Amino acid sequence: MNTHYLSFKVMKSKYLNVLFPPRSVVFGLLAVFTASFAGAQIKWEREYRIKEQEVPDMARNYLTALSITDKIKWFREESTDEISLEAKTRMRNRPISLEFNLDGSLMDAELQIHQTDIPDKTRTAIDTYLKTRFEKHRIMRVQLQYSGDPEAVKTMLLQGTVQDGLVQKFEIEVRGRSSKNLELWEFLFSLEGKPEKESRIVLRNPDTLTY
Amino acid sequence: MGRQIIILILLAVAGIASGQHAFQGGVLPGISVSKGLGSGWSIGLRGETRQKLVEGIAGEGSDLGYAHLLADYSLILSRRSGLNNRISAGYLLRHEPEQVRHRILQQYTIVSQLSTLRLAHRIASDQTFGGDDPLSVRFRYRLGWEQALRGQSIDPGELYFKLSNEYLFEIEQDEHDLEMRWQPFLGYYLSDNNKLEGGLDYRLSSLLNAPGRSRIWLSINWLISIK
Repeated sequence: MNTHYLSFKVMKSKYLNVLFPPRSVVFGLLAVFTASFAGAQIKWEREYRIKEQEVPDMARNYLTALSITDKIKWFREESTDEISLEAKTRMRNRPISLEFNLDGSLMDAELQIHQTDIPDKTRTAIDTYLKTRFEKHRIMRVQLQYSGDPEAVKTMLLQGTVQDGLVQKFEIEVRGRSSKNLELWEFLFSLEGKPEKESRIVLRNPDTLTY
Repeated sequence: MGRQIIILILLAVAGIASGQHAFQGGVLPGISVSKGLGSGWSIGLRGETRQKLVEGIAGEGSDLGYAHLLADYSLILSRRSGLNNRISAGYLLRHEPEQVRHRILQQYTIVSQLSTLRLAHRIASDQTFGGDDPLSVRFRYRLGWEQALRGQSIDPGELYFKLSNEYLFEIEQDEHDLEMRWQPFLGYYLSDNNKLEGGLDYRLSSLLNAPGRSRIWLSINWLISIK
């Protein structure tokens, strides 16, 4: 009889603890919540899928002129610096993305290529530079970036010929190790292999998949 | 792999159909706090409680009733071993109403970022001891899939979907058994440091020793990372 009474008391007390946790637990959780927001990044970026109808005619017509047969996915990218529209599709069996301003004018087109597609001289220059930046590196992805005159970009994509006003650069994603740190980087090289821009890619915290 | 999953599902169905299949359901709220320590190291704390709301045997009815089953508190130390790989070891304290158990755990995770989703493989093992129960050793494999519900990547203020499938092989004294888990979750990405997830945690155990046992929990998780 006593045992039953005791176990009921223990159970009742645990039940109440779940519904009404002690004040210290509530304050503890609030402190953790506040601390987790304190370190939040100020830079704000987001992208989301949009319907084709939401894209300005100028951008849609540009894609139509390229005679792309694969499905085109449209995205709106917003950051603290700018808002742009991006079309992702495939052209000649290679992934391609075309970025547009909000008025539908072309910003650039990025065509994914193989490392071996980079001209030998440029590849040597890029490799020499990367060797100075990292103790060990591996090229993960190469994109040929076309910008400048939209008509010249179109001619290049359709016919592969260079016209005046075309700007070509290589955007390269590199996994590099330096000073025991292994990081992912994005580099922009000129057509001659001269480094123009670099940024470290911050990988999203994998905690939702690893806990 | 597909063939093994079909066999496991058939075993599960056979166990349930045998009529002695026990089931249990309730809620499983949890909170995880992680902090980077620099040089690829990080530490994670997790608390989780299991509250039973219903239990019974298939075909013989069920009983509604609340019971606090256990509370787990764990501390895990991780180190990045590659761009997307992580090796971890930790300790878990399990507080049950009648006993306290201890668990040592080891795990290795690989997260692959694909164009629109993330895949994670987790290979783990753990050893549980203490209390009145014998030593239990488990070997685990989990495949996780995470997908943004809007756009290609998960951004702050957006919802995401996550599905995990895990297999646990357990050895306890001379006996061994297999458990399968499915976890479909809907998450809300408040910020890089705050995520809320809710969903079902379905566990089908005693797969090799029918009749099996099903447990289904309404799981709610709050994931916090402190920078």
